[in-house]
Amino acid sequence: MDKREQLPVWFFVGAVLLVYGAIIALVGVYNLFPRHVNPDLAMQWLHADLWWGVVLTSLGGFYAARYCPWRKH
Amino acid sequence: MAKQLLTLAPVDWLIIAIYFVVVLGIGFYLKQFARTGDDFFMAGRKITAWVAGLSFISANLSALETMGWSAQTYQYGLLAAHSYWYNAVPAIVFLAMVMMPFYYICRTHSVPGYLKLRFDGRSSTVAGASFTFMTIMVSGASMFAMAKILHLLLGWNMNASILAASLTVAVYVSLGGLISAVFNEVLQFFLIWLGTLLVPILGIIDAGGWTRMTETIRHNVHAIHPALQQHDFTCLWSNLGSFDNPMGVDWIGLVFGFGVAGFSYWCTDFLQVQRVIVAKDLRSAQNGTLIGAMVKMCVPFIVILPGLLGMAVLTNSDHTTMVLVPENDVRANITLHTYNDVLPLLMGRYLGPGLLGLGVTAMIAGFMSGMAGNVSAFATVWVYDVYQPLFNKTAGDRHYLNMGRLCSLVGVGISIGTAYALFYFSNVLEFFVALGMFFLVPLLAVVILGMMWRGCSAAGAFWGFIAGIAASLTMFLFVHSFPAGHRPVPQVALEKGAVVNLEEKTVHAEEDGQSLEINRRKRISRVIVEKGKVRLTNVPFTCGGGTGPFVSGDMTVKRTPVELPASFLDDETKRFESRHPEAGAGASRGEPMVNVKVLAPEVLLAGSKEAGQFGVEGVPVTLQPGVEVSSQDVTKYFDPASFNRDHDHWIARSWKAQPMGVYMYCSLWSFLLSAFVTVGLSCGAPRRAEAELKDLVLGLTKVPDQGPCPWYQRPAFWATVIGVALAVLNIVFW
Repeated sequence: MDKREQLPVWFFVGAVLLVYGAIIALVGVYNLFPRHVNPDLAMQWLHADLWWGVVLTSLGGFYAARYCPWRKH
Repeated sequence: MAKQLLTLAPVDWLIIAIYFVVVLGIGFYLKQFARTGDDFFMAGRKITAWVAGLSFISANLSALETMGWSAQTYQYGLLAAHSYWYNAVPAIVFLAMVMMPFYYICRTHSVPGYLKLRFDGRSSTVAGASFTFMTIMVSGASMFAMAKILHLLLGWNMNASILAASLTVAVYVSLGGLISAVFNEVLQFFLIWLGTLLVPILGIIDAGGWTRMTETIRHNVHAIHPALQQHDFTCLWSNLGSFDNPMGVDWIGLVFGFGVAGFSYWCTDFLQVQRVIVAKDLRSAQNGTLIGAMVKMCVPFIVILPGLLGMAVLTNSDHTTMVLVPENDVRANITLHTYNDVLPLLMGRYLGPGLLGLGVTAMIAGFMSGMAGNVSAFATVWVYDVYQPLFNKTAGDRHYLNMGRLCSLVGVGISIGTAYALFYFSNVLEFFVALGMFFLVPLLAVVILGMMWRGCSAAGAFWGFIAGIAASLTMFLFVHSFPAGHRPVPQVALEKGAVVNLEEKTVHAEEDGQSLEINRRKRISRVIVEKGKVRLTNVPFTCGGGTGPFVSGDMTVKRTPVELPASFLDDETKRFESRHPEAGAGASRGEPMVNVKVLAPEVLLAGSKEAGQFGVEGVPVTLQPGVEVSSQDVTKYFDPASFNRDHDHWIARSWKAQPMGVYMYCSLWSFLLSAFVTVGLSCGAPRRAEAELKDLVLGLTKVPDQGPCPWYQRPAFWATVIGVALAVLNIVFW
């Protein structure tokens, strides 16, 4: 068995959610401008992309920081 | 209807690309930790409870599951939730509390491996061989379904979808083995939930809350399911007192048939069990399974609720209720979307750029997790239960590790072959799904009896297992066979480029619910084919007009136009009704008629020369001189896509049973026969010594002391919590 310690799966999950959350939140900010409204989309007034992006970023940030391999050393 | 359902923005492509990079990166990273057979096949037996539980559910939570059960809910209503709250969760709790100690303490590598320890090599070899066959077929079917869905939704090339997904799975599973599959499944779990969860949240706000949604469904069901409009689609148990419900099954079939099918899948399908028997200790294995049960209990929120929302909120551009149809409907994918589109339609309705990319990534992740789970389980069972006992008993660990890597690649290769086979034999998909259920049900009977009863003999288990498989297969053949011959629905298919003239009449919106026209306020009353080629299947006609004999062959319409009938006397149904007046069908509507379906996926409209597409039935067709006709008279004696009503009621106890109801009863009879044969042959057989059955049978298996732990880490506590929550859910939605 390799002596190196295996990175926890939660770190990968956190990193991916962090990146996805940041991208989606940025798209949400872009869509705040009225000229970017998509008429085919329902419930757009809720700006789900913005707050869902923030949720993903927070969740991802928590997991990435909590299980960050460099944090232990 | 647009050619593709969803359109991706550049940011969506970026999200999908990141996913593929991460998945491959995880595979390369974990290769260094898969050094032995135990690492590769059993993830070193060091997985924690949370990872085991999420992986356990993720291996099952494929896109086929999310899209498929949303579609089933649209078809059957809230009854589809039984797949979770009755079929799955109790079975998972049973696996955790009753079966897991046996699987874990005997240190088996697989479910067939348990049979070998408990009985002998006969039943384990049959189980191993059937399981590898079934697994690889299901993997191919999953790949085919993914390619087809991505093609329909996004217009992606099917070959490219199959190759990209299968190569990615081949790389990460062959490099890292089970641990790589498990890592990716946990990641996929989060992506599936976070990519889909917004749909029901926004949908329920859009629908005005639960009560408003159910009221809207009751109103819309007249248009969506006109034949079932008197049935309640929003209750779980109260409509199961008789066969008058959307599924056509009573509570006996559901409780016993669906229950048996659920227990067989969750307790003996090694694809599932493998995820939790590799946990670091028994308590983690049990808690991991219970975590899976808790998550499973929540899955209806992202699967069943969208199906219900589809009936309530989906509308056409003119604000009329959108009607979705089954895949075999004449209008499917031409003028109307299908049941399977309900989740993607809701995604398109609520998710903008970025979120849509996440949703599509969730679907791709779901397909790939299903495929990877099947491939890793295939490699394990092939190496330990087929290759090692039959071909090479004495090789070293390194050899089996390399064989595992090779098997992963071969497994993906065979899956690709199966996926391409399904291009030509699409009905085979249904056949495999049914076979999977039928094979696992007898296995459940044998494993349960083996675990609970010391007297269960090896010969009894072997012949019980064989009898169950044979019974399942026989019932499958029985319900799909037609000794007197079966003519598939008559159909007129207009080939690409045919020029047509459409006569239309205006109808009221109310009667328009089930109509078949392009413009929902106009109904096509006649189709006149001016030029081009048409293919007729089982359409009787004569050149002089009217209904004639069934004919086969090619011809060109000469001087006089040919009139094809809109409908004609359905001899098959007439014979059925005369034989079985007690079935009640057609008693009040005179002679049974069968409508001719007209399919026009890509035609030119005469006059405007614009491209058009439509699907109609029960409408007369006129073929003008010069039109080429290719006619076929098809009679089938076995058709996996059709059920013989003459035979169904013997299995499902009702003339009203829908396909799912028939399969539920098939499972029940197969289980009972398997158990009966196993018990019967075991009764007089000599028993194995108790020492040989240690750690394999109830009463001879001592659960090791795992040390003290706080109450909130005890499996019994969480099993009780799940039981109470489940009871509450069933009562609330009764």
